[in-house]
Order: sequence, then C-alpha cells, then structure tokens
Amino acid sequence: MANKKTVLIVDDHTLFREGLKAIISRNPAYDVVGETGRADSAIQMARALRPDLVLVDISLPDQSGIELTLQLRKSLPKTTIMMVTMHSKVDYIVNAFQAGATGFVTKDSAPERLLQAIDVVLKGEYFLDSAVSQKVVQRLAGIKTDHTSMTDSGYETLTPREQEIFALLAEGYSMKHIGERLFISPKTVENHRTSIMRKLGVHSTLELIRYAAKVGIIDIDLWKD
Amino acid sequence: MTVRDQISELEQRLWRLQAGDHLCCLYESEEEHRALLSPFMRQGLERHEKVLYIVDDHTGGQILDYLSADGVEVYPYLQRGQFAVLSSDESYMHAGEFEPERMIALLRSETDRAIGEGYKALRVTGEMSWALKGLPGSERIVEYEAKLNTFLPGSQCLAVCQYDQRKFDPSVLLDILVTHPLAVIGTEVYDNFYYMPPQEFLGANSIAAKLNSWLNHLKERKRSETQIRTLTRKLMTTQEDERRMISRELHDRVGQDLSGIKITLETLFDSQPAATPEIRKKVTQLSRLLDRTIFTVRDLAYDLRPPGLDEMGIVQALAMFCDDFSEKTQIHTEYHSVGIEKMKLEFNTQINLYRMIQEGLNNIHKHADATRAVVKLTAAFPHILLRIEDNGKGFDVEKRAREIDSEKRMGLRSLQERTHLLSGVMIVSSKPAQGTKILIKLPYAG
Repeated sequence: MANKKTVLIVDDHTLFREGLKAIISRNPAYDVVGETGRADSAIQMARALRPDLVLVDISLPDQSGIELTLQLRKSLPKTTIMMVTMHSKVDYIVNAFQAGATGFVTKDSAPERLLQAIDVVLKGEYFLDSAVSQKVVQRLAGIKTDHTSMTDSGYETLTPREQEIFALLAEGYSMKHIGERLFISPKTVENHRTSIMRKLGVHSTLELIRYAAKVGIIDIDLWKD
Repeated sequence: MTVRDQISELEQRLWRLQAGDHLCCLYESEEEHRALLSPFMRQGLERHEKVLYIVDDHTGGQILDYLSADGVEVYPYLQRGQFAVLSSDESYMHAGEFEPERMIALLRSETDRAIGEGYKALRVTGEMSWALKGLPGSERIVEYEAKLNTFLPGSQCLAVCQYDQRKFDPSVLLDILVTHPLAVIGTEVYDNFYYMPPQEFLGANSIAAKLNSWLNHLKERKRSETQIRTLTRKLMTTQEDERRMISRELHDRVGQDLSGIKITLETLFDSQPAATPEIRKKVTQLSRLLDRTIFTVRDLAYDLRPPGLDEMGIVQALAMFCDDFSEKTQIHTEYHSVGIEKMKLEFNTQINLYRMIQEGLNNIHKHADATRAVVKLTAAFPHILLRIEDNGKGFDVEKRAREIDSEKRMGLRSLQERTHLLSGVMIVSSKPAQGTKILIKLPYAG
C-alpha cells in the first residue's frame, strides 16, 4: 500500500508497547515506524521520522507526556498527537488538550478503541475516550447538573466584609448591633446592606434570609425548635 | 471495652506495682472492691511477698472467698504465715488509740520481719472504715496517710488504703487523694497528679503549695493538649502522605503493569491463529478477571488520594466525589459550593475538608438509611461553613454524645477531631426519624 500513515509510540512500558503495535498492525493502513520509552529520544525520533501520529503516555521516566506534547507541537506542527494513558481523570485530560493533543484514550480501553481513535484523529478531528465519563465533560464545560452547583453569580461578587455583614443580617442582628460588633457606624452597615441586596438581587429582609438559607449561611429549619 | 478487658488491664497495671508504692482505692461497689483487691493479694502471693489484709467492713471469710473464687488455695499460705488477715483492732487501733507514728512503726517492724522471713516484700492493704467510728485518734487519719509517704518510698513495703466512697465525707476523700501518689478509682489506676509530698502537705505553707501545684497542673494539661493536637496533626499528615504514596504506586506501577498484561492478552491471538477454542476461552476469562482487578485497583487508588484535588482544587474534586457517591450508593446527593473557589485554601485545609465530607457521607451511607443527602460548602467571611445533611433515621444526639467515648462511633468522632484541628466548631442536630444535620464552622482569616 502506498501512503501508509506512520506512527511513533512513546511509552516506557515495553509490554504495553508490544500490545499497541499488535493492535495497530491489525489495520494495514498504519505502520509503526518507531518506539521509545523516553521523552528525549521521542523528540529526536519524531524529528527524524516525521510520523503522522505520535501516541504519548503521560507518565514517562524523564519528563511528563504533557510537556513532550507541547514540544512536539512546537517542532512538528503537522504531526497529530494522541494520549494513551492510565490517567482518566479530568485534570489530565484538560492539560493534554491544552498542550495540543487531539485524542485521549485510556490504557484500559486501548484494545477496544485505539484503531477507531486513530482513524478519528488522523482525519483531523478530536477523540475523547467514552470511558472518560460524561460527567468529566460536564465538569469541563462548567455545566450544572440538577444536583450540583459550584458558584452563585450573586454571592461570588460579595467582598469578605459584605459576606460577614450578610451572615449577621441573616442571623437576625440589628444594624446597630452589627455596627458595634464590627466597629463601624450603623450608617456604614446600612450602605453595605444596600450594596449586598443590589448584588444579590433581593428586595426585602425575607428574601435576604431565603437567599442565606439557599447558599447555606443559615438553616431556617433549626429555628423551629 | 468490655468489663473483662478493663479488669485484665487493671491486673496488668497492678503487676507493675512495686515495693514503696502507696495507693488509695476509692470504690463505689463490691464489684469494684473485689476487682482490685483480689488480684492485688493474689499477685503478692505469687511474687512471694508477705500479704497482710486488715479487715473492717468485710469479714475475714469474705476476703478468703475472694481468693478461693480466684482459684487460689488459701490455707497453705495462711499456715505458712505468708498471708494474714487482721482486724483494725489488732492493727490501727491496737493501743486503744490511733497514733500515726505508732502505726508506721508497726508497718516498719512487720516489713523487717517479712524480709527476715525471706519474703520479697510486705504487701499491706487496709479497709479504712474503722476511722468512721469516732474512735480516739481517728481524726488523724489524713496526717497518717501523709506521713506514710515518708516511710513507704524506698522501703520494702507497699500499701493500698481502701476508702468506700459511699461512706466517707468528700472533704476527707479530697485529702486522701492529695496524700496518695497512686489512686485506683473504680477499676482504673491513675498516676495521681493531685498528690502532694508530705513536706508540702503538712508544711506551714500547704495552701500556697497546693495553689502552686494546681497552677502547674493547668500548665501541664495545656502542654499535653497541645502535644496531642500536634501529634494528631502529624498523624493525619503522615497518613495523607502515606496514602498518596500508596495511591501513586497502585495507579502508576501496578495499574501500568495490569494494563500491559491486558493489552497482551487482548492481542495474544493476533500472532497465534492456530490457538484452540479452549485456550481462547481461558484467555477470555482471564481477561475479564483482569478487567475487574484493574477496576478495583483504580478505585482503591482514587479512594486513597482524591483525584483532582491537587490539580483542580476542592470545589471540583468534591463535585466529582458527590457524583460518584450518588451513583455508588443510590443516595441522591446534592452539592452546593459558593465562594470557595476564589479563596485559595491551603492544601491542608482542602484535604481536611474533603476528608470531612467523605467521612460525613460515608457515615450517612453506613448508618443513616437515607435516600437524600445535601452538602453545602459556603464561604462566609470570617468563616467557612460546611453543612452535611441527610433525611435518614436520625438519632438522639445527647444519648449518642454519652456513648461516643465508649463506642466505636468513629465517624462522628473523627469529624469532631478534624474540626478541632482546624480550630472550628461542630454542631450536630438530629432526632430519631428526622434526619441529621451537621454544621461545621471553621475560621478563615482570608
């Protein structure tokens, strides 16, 4: 076959490399032209062999696979890079894509999905292992699920001082008491209160208390007993 | 700890007693009395010491029964003179009037006699209830106890003075406590830090000495608490370090090897087209088993070291944990966090918060019978608030608080411990059948 796509494998685990080669050889369109267990020799080999695809493990003895990806990207912009790694958690995935990889396959699912993944990335598309949970993507995109929230656009804008006053207001203290406690004038407390209510978009004390209960500052139920 | 464990611990402690020791025993029941005195006498006999028991409240027969019930053949000891039971009239009151010096002289001569007879020591114990009968000199009992401390240390004699807590006046017992270097309360032996040496207790400035000693106790106690806290903190850090190390080894080394084996199995027949169906079947089975092993190892690794905590911070890591928890336990778990992400918490605080939530949710899973749980982590300057709530079966908070020390309720305990380490407060509110709410309030200076 004329235009075989060439592949370089970078993984320090010999047995695993053998396995990868065996899988890749199942598709005659691909040809493993080199393999290495170290990042430094990976750079040299890539420069010499100009492979179409480099498969990179994240943990390498001399350097992280993420670093290696960055360097490969710089010196060989046309080469496609895909991570094949033990790590399946979100942090590594973000880093890998940011560094310039376009594919991510976990080692567990390599036997099943590697060839498919190679097809995809060599077409210039992105591949993310479906073993990497959907939740990871949600997390990455900052998508809220129905039962988690990690920000509150109003509350996040409060200054520490405003947080402090908000909590005291929600607990039912008077502005005079709060002023005495924080060594500021009631007038200043009042100004803070106005600012807090504007930032949170609440218009009454009741709404303010509800808001405080929602974000966990106070617990309304406890007042019952 | 069971009663039996307590008693065997008491026996072990008693075994470390030696000549010169002076103990008081404050007991409130016959069980406590027997639990101490029976092994005290038996151990003396076994160690070839001469044992003297001065009865007052009990009869000699009752005391002999203690030993017989313990499997000791008493009569040979009695015949040989290694064991004797005396009455208070024959000892404390034998001159018709109690006089401390005379009693101490008696103990001294009895000790010399015992040593002369070839015994290793004289082991004495006395029931002090005779002092309650208004006999002449009995008001000098505290003076006697104080002066014993000039005789016993360095002598070949050791003594246990028995006080029935139900009968003696607390003001007397207070002085008794101050005059015994070792105190047995119930079935526990204490190195008695209330003890004052005789020259201080009987001296002209005894009040000043007492004050001084109390002030020192306060300092000592503070020091101990600080030390415990430092050690606990160190323990937790060490634990986290160790977990991280094991987790990394599992994930990076064991996990890598397992993946290597898996891919090898999966591609084994690419180069072996002639393999028989049996062999192929075997390998398929192996491969399946391997999948399970890989899964377990990875789960374990992630459990030991929360994934993402180092890289993404607590807010994201917790979101993932709560998701996983919901999925694993079928307890619908809500997670809300506000204002935490921009706080840049120290790693130590993060890992402690993470572990608290992990422990809190695991408690719910193990004990609460809940279908829903809520975790709220809120920045409210100058505090961080953590709420962990469930709709489970709840419990009686006061009752649980009393049980917490004796039971293996490590869940709440360790939450309390971590809260304490971070100088926070923890409030648990719960009622049977009404779920449980835990509020942890940690100081945060910003």
